[in-house]
Amino acid sequence: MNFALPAALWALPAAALPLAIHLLSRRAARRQTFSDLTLLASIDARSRPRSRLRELLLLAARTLLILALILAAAGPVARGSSSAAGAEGLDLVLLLDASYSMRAHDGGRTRFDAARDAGRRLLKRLAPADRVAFGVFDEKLASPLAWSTPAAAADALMRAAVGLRGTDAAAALTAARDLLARSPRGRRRAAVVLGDGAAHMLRDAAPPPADGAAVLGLRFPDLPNAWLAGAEPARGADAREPKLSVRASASGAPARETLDVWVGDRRAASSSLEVPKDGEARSTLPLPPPEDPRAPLWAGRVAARPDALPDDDETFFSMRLRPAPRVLVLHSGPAFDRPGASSWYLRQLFGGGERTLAGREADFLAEGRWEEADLARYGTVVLSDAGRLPPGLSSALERFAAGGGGVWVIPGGRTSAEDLADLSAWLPARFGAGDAAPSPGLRVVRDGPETSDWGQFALSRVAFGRRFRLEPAPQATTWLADSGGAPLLVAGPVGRGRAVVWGAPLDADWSNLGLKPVFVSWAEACLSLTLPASASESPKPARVGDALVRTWRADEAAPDRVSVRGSDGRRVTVEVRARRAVLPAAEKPGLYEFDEGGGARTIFAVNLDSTHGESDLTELSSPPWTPVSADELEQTFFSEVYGKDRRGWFLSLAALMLGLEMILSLPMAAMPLPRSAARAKTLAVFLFLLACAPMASAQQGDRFVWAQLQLGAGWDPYPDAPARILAWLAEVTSARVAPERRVLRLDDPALFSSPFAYLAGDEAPPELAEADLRRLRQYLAGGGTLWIEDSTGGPPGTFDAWTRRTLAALLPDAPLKPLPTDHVLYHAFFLLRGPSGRVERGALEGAAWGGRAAVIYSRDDVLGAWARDALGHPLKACVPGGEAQRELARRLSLNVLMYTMTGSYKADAVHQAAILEKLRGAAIP
Amino acid sequence: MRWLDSEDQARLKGLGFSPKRPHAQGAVGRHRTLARGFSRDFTSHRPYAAGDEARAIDWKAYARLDRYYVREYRAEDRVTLMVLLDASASMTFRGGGRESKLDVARRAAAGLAWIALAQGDEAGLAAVGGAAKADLRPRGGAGQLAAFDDSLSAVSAGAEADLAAALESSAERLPRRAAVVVISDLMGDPARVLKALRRLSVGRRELMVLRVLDPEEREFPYEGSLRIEGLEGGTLMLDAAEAAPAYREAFARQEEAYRGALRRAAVPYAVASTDAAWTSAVSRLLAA
Repeated sequence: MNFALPAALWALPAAALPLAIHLLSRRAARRQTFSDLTLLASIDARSRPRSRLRELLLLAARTLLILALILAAAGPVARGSSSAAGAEGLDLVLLLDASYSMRAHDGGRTRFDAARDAGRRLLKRLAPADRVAFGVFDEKLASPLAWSTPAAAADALMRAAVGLRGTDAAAALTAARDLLARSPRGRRRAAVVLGDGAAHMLRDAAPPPADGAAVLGLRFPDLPNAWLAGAEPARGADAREPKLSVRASASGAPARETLDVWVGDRRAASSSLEVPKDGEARSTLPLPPPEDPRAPLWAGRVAARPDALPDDDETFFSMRLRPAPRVLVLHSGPAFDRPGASSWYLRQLFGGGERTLAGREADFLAEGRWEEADLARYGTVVLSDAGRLPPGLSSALERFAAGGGGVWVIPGGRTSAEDLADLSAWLPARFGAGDAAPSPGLRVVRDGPETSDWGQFALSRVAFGRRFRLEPAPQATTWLADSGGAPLLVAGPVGRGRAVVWGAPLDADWSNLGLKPVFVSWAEACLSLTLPASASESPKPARVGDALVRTWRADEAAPDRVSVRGSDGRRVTVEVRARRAVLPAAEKPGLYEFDEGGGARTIFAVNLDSTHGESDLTELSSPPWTPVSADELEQTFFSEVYGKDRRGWFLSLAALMLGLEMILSLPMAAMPLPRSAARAKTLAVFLFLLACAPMASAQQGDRFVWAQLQLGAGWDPYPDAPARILAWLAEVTSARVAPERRVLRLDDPALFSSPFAYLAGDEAPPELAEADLRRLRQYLAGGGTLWIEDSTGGPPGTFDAWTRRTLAALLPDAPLKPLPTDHVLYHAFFLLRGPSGRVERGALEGAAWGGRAAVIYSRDDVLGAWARDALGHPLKACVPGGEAQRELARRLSLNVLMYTMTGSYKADAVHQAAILEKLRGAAIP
Repeated sequence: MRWLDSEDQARLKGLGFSPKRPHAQGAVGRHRTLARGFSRDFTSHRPYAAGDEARAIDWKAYARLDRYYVREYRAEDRVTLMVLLDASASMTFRGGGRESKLDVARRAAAGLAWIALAQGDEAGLAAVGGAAKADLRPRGGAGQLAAFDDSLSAVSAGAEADLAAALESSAERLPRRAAVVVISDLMGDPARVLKALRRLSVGRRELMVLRVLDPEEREFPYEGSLRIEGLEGGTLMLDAAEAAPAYREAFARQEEAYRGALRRAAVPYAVASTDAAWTSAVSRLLAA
């Protein structure tokens, strides 16, 4: 608590004035002679304790009154910034968050607009002497902070626009702190962060604020949001089977996303995806075949339903899938197709057809004819039983591998290490001496996607009759070993390509691997190890703000310039320097197409950076600023910086004390305490009743309430009919009715405060739970009457079936039976000859329970006869009887109500004599 | 005449008092008695009996009825009026420049004495609670009024605080048959005062009570905090605004207690206020 005028506090001793006056007045009591003190003494003795208390209270009230007035005069201010007293002006750092999360729509406008308006309102109220440093930040501060006038800052604020990057408020806060720390002493300091206050605003801990500076930040309520986190080639996708994997995330609430993949302006695929709250879900969508089979390139976007933040419900992708590489199997001779031979296994595996087991197409060729093959057409060359190679093949394979191809070497059964020396020279593993009695069994040395699910195989059963000791090169990786730990499968790079060496012959004579279930997985692993890590050559996905760089390899022909078509369709030309074309910054998400001439093109997909949770709009749990909503920013800011004026408190305290003083100063006789206590009691009772008013409104008094069960979709076919019936009931009978019906669910306890419940339906409502049936049974047993009506007016449908089924379960002992025409219901008020309704579908049915029809079931759509349109005309015609039938239906509905209220009263013979007597007496000619 | 001037005499003219109970006393006075005797007031006829005076025979009745009837007249007697003047300290209270209660009481006493003497009765004075003995034996006659006046002047207020005790002790100084007028402010415990008054009225005494009050005693018109000193001793600090309503209520209750108790005992009672004419209070008393 600070005071604007501390000098006024010197007047505080004046608060002792009442005490002094009191003491002085005691001393200065007037002397008065009186005749006799007997009476006075008795009065004085009686009133002394009360008057003493009153005196004390009066004294306290007066002292507090003066105290409060003095404090109010001193201008009390609560919790201003510490350098509040005598400040020269205000230094305010205003930081505006321009990240894309500020584009979120919150109550009809974007958060950015709300934040900007709040900032503008704040700046308007600043004095010209105040200084403002305005800065826009997203991932970093857009420009260094510098002091300016409030008006200039307001201009800059209104010029600011929201961007598409992520947020990191820490840098901006640090800059603000440094600037404020340098501001001269004696000035008030404050920083306001006009951000969305979401959890993503701070990636690291925020710097502590400058000394004595008030730091405020906007806060917005949590907003559920779902977004697309990215789209990339699905695992296992290749040019023949292009697939896209889309990741979607949601925060705040689970979301059901509908994904549409657009390639060009064509919708390629759609799918829907359930995204759990605060989690991620993936969906794999097929892509159409490429436009140009020679350049298998896909670029497009995936769009989801726009929600609170529409910008992140769209993601762009660009990917290049390699065609599945062909495999060339070089075998040693004519016996390659002998069952049990190494090549035979591979033949079985690849098959040579379109959709082979390993997903590759393979050609088989004898080693001696290797020169006939165009190695450049193949992705992988397999030496199925390598031995002494024809001249030139080894070096050709080395060149092939160095140029990016894959080589897979399986030694032959009769081969020696010397035969393989040529290969050992460049393969990732040297073939050492043969081992005639190796340890059986396989062991996975290195875990990778290739060996991910090998746990299901009985690897210890794999046995070898012979194998070579492999000596892995330094940069090679051992994937498999035998149970003794000697390497069996070694893979490693050779130039730009890769080579895989298997250490044992595959022939059935030497190994049972080809007969084991693990064989297929083994072969796939070996094949995939000969390929580059990814089957796709997609350009690296870029984020908004990144530079897009297209680099040409040395063996590619680089153009002089490329024409870049941006996401907005505009083209710019970029010079190629040092085999690099650089687009400095992609400011918008979208596809950026580098047209390299001659039909070659590279497409970059630029997306919003949601990796830091920018799309997650949940609130920051403990922000390093005082969170305040946009509407309250102005008020809170001024109370934080200048403090809150507490003068009103003290003035109201003074007023209170004044009132107390006045009451206490009244003569004693004016305070008849017992009576005022009684009055207070009355008042308290009144207040209690007032508080109970909502409860009381639920009470119905002695009025008849039309309770209608809300069950199923068609529970209310004629919303106006009950009110009309009740109005007529009140008109023609002496029953007091509540004008409004009461709509209830079965679990509503108010069900039990009305003896009558109505249930209509046209289709079967959901089956009643046992608890509901029990309640309903309790209701009927307690005297309630349930009127069920099939409002279709047609032949028995699902509702009819439901009713009969439910009633059988509800009242097993009381089957529905048509009510006889002499049933008292037909005499309860009007004398009716039988059932009637809007249609004629049959008798009124009833389930007898305790001597009355506890459940009445009609299929004549009685309420339909009551329904009227807005002009008051009957909504539906009554068939076949017309208006006369309508009148009968109206009467019947009244009879039903009277029956629920009076039961069998009209049938009781005990009244008849009295009634006849009365009638005779009343029979005046 | 110090305590009775001619104006007051004029106001009191026409007033008289008569005891309600019969006296059988030797001296023939003006007061009617139920005992038949000699006076001009006719009571009734009675058939003549042997021994009746012949001059009592109503000859006109004999002429009409041919029988002797005797006329009977009411006897008349003389009454002693004893004024019991309260001279306790509280009687000296004077509020707002008015006469003190004691002075008003003296005037009333003089007035009553004058009335009694003027109708041929005897008047005497007894002061209670006073310092000096200024008692005057009851006597009739023209000179008695002057003696009464002197006695009143001789009465001086004392410091006596207990009125009830003083009243009781004065009982034996009173003649056995007399009309006793107590002139007092009746300040004190009403129960004890009433008990003392009952003692005064034993025997063949007839009691009348004239209460003398100052308006300030009735209304307590003070304000502010007061340091109250009682004339009969004691000091009290209190807030007038606070005490006044309760005091008024208590005073009214006391007054009602006196009035009710005395009415039930058929004792005439009147209140004289120092701010009003005492003569009217005396006339109320005598008319009661």
